[in-house]
Amino acid sequence: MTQTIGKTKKECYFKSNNIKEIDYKDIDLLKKFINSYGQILPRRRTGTSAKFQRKLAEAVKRARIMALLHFPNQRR
Amino acid sequence: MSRTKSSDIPHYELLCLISNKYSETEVEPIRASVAKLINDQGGKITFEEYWGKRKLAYRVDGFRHGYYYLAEFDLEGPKLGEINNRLRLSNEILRHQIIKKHKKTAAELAEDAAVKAKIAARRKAEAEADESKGKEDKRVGVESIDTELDKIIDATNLL
Repeated sequence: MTQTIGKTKKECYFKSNNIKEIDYKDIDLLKKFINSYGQILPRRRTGTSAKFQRKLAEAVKRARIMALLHFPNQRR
Repeated sequence: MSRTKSSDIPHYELLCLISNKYSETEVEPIRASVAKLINDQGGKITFEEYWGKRKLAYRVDGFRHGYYYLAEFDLEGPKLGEINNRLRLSNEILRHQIIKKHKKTAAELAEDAAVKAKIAARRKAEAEADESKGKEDKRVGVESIDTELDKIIDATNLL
C-alpha cells in the first residue's frame, strides 16, 4: 500500500476569488502576502499561481515606492 | 504591437504624495494645481480621490506623514513625459507614480456588478440562515431546560 505523502495543494487566492488585476493601493490585501520584515512570501507558502505571483510582486514594489508599505528589513 | 491592438485613448492612474510641510488648507491649492496640470496637457480626469493625511510606511525626506492624491485620467499622445517631469521638479510633491491602467469595458463593468450582486445575495442569505438558526437554538435550549428542570424536580421528590 502506498500512502500519499506531502502537503495538500493550496489554491491560488486570486484565482479562487476571481481577482483579475491586483491593485497596489489595496494594502490590506498585499499584507497577506508579505511577512513581518516586509518580504514577499514565496509561492510555496501562499499557493499563488505563477501568473499572479508576478503581478503581486509588481504591486508590492509599487506600494513600497509610494511609502504605503515599507522596504524589507527597514528600521522605522 | 499594442498600437494595432487598441486604438483607444490610453488610461493612466496617478498617485502623488504631497509634503507634510503644508497644512490641510494649503494642500487644497496644490491638489488643484496637479489636476490643472493634467487638464492643461490635454488629459481628461475621469476619477479623483483625496485620501487626506496618512502615516507613511517609512520616512520620506524626513516626514512621517503625508497627503495622498489619486487621479485617473485619459491622455493621448506624448504628453505624459511633460506631466512626469513637472511633478518630479515640483517641491511640494515628494513622490508620484503614474501607471498605465486597463480601462474597464462596459461588458466587464456589467460582469463586476453581477458578481457583486451575487456576493451580496449570498451574504444576505447566510445572515438570514444564521438568524433563523439562532432562534431555533434558543427554542431548543428552553425545551431542554424544561426537561432538565423536570428531572431535577423528580430527583428532589425521590430524595
